[in-house]
Amino acid sequence: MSQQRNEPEVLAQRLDQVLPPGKKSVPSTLPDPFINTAVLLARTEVPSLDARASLRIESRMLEAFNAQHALRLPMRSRRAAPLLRWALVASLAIILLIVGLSPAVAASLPGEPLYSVKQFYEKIELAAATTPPARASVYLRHADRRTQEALTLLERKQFAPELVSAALADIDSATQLETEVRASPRLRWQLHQVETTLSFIIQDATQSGIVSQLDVAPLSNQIEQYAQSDLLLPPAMPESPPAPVILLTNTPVPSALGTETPTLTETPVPVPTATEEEALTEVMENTPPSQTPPGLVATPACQSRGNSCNSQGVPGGQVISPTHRPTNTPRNLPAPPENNGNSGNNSNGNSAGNGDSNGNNGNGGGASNSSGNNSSNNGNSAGNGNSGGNNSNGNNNSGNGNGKS
Amino acid sequence: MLIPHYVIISLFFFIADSFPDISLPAAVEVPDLVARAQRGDRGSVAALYQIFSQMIFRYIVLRVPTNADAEDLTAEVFVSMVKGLPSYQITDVRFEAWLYRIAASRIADFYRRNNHRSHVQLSETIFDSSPLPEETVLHNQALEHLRGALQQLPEDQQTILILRFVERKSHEEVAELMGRTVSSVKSAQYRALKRLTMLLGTDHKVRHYLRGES
Repeated sequence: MSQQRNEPEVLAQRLDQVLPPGKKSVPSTLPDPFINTAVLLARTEVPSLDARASLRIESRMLEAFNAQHALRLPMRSRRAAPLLRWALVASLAIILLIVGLSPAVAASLPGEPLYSVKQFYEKIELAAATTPPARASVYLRHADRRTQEALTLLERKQFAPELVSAALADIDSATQLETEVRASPRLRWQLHQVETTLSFIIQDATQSGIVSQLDVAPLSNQIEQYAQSDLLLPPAMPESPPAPVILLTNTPVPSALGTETPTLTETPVPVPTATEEEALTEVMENTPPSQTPPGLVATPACQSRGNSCNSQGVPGGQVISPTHRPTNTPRNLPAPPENNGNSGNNSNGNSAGNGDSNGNNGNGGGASNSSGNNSSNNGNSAGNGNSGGNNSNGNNNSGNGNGKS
Repeated sequence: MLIPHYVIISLFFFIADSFPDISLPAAVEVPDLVARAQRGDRGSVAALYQIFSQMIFRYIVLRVPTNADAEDLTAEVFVSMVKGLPSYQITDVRFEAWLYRIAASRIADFYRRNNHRSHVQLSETIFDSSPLPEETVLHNQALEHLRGALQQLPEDQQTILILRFVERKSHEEVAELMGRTVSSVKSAQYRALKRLTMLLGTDHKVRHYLRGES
């Protein structure tokens, strides 16, 4: 059995001794033919690649490499591409962060992480305001933000006195620039809005029981002081003459029948001012009914007598009742009943004024329609019975004719 | 101010990448060269060629009839290397094992194309007509005879003998390069040497040499 040695293993061991791996030493011939064959191989000077052939092969290899990488970026660009990509991504992220943070920052509340960013931004905003009007605007803007923050917290059943105090402090800073605030309706309006909102916050917080009135008393007093400031009041509007009232008056138009047909036409009638109205009322009240002063139209003191006035606060001119029909109409329409003032309307505006002598209008003699007043109760006491006609165009008179003779 | 080492290393590679023609230090391991070559580093590809070109040529030249065939096949091997680098996966197996497999494949393709017999006649190996020293002639004759005999062995036995005795690699290295066990390599080696001894014995001078006779 000993002869059945592993001949390959034995040969391998002998070869490792004779021709050790990694070394170039070659022994002389040995009796073992197998080992001599191995030694022959190890001793053979195998041809090497000469320089020319080596360069030729290398060039061929690199040509294949270039062809394979023709569309690919060079190493430097490929190394820079990820950096450039990251730089681009970072830039986009920063831009999106800035753009995206604005609403988030604006909506942040005290105690939130972004609120410090908001405060820092407001410092920059104030520092950037170099002129007094700009600073006043920034103060009021900050006050508005504090107010909105307090309002948001109020919705969450929370009251933040520090926000109200901060808003009042900003208001105080803005009001110190009194000239600029007064000169700008927008700033006054902003001031008014902030003050109103603060008042609402205090009121709602106390009524809801979120905070006691005693706790917010100082803040309430401060707000009230600002509310009473004339800085909040809008400037008084200059007095301007009231716009004339357009009335429909009967204007005689020649007709084919040779008779004059009254037609309603627009006639601007100046509306007396309050002062003038009072004067008129006094005059009318002191004037007998049959003696309407020329140039004036009986106008009731609408306010004092409870009649409606026009939008300008002046008693609207009474309009000619379209029910007044001229007595000379070819239709021979029945005359309106006596003492009947304005008994309705008709489209042609014919008046059926009582005591209308000229038939043109319901006004009494001498009474001019230009005043826009319906004189259909000329036969009546002044101002009596006509409760309507207070419209600018004087188209109809919804009043009834309760005139008294 | 001390510069961190990783900064220096990064700076080195950055500069090296900026100038691909600069040859890298020999201390750079082959896997690093392969990785950089895969990333498109021309210099690393050239470095790999410089390291393995002679080794591959020596393997091929003993397995093909002529030096010209060996040169052509060596070029084909490294062209195949360049083309195959993108898909090559770096593992624990040596990179040269992959090159040897490519070389063996190219040799097989060569013989299929040319329908060559492995036996090489002495007259085919004469490159010039100038008189050669006797020693050179004898050397050439011995070489051709050895080459002819070797090429009659199976492919795996040729590879084992070349790697073991021409490249002087250990049994373990040969086993790793061929993807076989050490015992199988020793067994194949035994059979190869036995076969080759018989083939070389046909030549009178070699027979005497193999017998240990001068």
